[in-house]
Amino acid sequence: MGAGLANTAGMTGAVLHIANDALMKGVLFLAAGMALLRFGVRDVDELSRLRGRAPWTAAAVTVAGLSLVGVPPLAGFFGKWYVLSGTIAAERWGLTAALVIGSLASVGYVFRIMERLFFSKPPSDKGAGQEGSAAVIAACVVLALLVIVFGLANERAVSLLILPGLPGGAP
Amino acid sequence: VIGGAASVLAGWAVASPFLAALLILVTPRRFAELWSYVAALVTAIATALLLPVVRAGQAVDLLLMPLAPGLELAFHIDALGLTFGLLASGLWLVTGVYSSGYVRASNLQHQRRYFASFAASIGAALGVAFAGNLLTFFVFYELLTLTTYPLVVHKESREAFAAGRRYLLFSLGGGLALLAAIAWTWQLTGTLDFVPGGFLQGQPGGTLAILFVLFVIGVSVKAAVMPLHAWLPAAMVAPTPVSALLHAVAVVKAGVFGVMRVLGFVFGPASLTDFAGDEVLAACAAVTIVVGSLIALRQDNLKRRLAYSTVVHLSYIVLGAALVAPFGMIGSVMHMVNHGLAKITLFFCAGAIYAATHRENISELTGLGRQMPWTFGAFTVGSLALVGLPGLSGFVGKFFLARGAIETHDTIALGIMLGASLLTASYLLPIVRIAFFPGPRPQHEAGTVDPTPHRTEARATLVVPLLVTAVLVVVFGVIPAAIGAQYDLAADVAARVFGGGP
Repeated sequence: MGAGLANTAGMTGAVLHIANDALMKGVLFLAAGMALLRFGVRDVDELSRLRGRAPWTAAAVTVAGLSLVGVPPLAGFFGKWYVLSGTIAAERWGLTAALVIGSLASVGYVFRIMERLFFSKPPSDKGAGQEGSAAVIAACVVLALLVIVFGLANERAVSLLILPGLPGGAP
Repeated sequence: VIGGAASVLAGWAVASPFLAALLILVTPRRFAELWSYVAALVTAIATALLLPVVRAGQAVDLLLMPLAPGLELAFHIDALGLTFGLLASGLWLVTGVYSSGYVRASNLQHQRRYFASFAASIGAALGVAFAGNLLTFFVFYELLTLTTYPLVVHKESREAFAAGRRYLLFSLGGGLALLAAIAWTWQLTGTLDFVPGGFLQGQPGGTLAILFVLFVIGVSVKAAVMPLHAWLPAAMVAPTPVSALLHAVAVVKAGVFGVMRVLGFVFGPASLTDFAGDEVLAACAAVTIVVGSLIALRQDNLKRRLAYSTVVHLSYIVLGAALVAPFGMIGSVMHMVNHGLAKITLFFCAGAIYAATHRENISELTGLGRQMPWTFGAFTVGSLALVGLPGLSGFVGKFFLARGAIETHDTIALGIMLGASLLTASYLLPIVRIAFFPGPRPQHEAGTVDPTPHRTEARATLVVPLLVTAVLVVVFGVIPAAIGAQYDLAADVAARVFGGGP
């Protein structure tokens, strides 16, 4: 959508979102795989089994989830900010509204995960299981850290890498 | 304190609560309160030291980091921001003591999570207070929602989860409206810095009207203006210190603070006259005052009645700002502080009553005043202050709010303010009456209330904080130096927004 807007803000948002989405989804799919293999979790509702038993993964999932929702200053926020700015600059109000409503929906499913992971009572037969191998944990945590670093370093990424590559975008 | 040192102080004031939250999470439980106290002290002292600088007419600036080309995470502390900052950091000190009493009295679970979220919420509130531009404001405003969420769902009951979902839906939904408004403002003007008197002058009226609606939805959620208030009474499921400091002071005041920032520092009096936005907001606030008061009258649960009273008094502040007049603004800024002092006292009392008697309904408080004289004495002081009795803090703000209504010849607003004071009396003072004067034959149904209760005050860590805040209510009602300092900051805000000042 950002690229289709064909303006600087929209294109910047599209490029940012490619990088950020890869990081966030990387964390979430790694964590989902770990939850399935180690704890037998298939549904979001079963995530409460992990409560207190997979602290590193839970922390990484939190960072990725909040980034997905678009909490500043995590990486996901900036993709959203630029695409939103792009829709406004192009005066495509329908797209602006779609973006806002879509974000609200993402709040819904991300916090359903958070609720299960941190606050819900684990079922009495929570089953065996322990956090995944060091390599999987490390991968999750590193990706989550990158979500934070990309967010904090967004200004440099945009002004040094993205804007010079866009027509009329060079400072 | 000179400029550079003042910036460092501002940085520490916001950083130390976040640092404390981190330390609480990674160190054993027994250190949780220690970190909270240290951070509360650092924050309160740092904020207090900024007072002479800002009173001398200097704003304090601090650039934290660039967020995107042309957009910065930056603080700019003026009189309005410092007023809110002092309120939040000062009351955090008192609430810290109360919290440690409360978690013991009520055997609270998950105490590290509780103390860490609490500290982070204060950090976010201070970030909101000190924000120098709309994007920085937004960053901390969203953080405030997220850091208070664990406190709302703290009990992990079905009711708590329902309240938590409602809280997120309202807050983050409002946040998205705010984000859209901010992105649009950025496209229109290329700047997001707060400017006294606003920076949207000259934009077409239709655009301004839609922008105004988006901004107001964004900040009105936390300010609990109807119909966006429904999360607040539900959030009373949180532990009482949370209701006291966050849902009577820090979070909701971040909302009314946002209203003042948007009206005075984004739109400004000049562009507000181009369309009827301020009048629509004033009408919403007026309806909230009347309807909220009537709902408060019907609540038997003490915390819920206080919550609706908060809804009402927040709209007092919003109404004052929406009058778009100097005295209205002064009244709003002062009532923001004074309502905070009085309402935190009332919530502290509710928590102390619950800790000592496990009662949370008003109808069960019959005759308790004699057994808990200090608690109900403080409750009386807080109630009378909210009614607006001269000599107590609540009067001062209400006086200037009324003056603002007279200044703008807004007799409807004046009538609503005065009428709502009577309503405040009618939903708060009966509590005092049944506590102290149960009547010759106390009416209680057999089996529900112990007919000859022998009860005493709650523990000292709960009673001393509520006495401290009750004394503050009196201090800000009678001591000229205290009222003067508060007035000077408020008058500084009004002078800058409306011109005719420095």
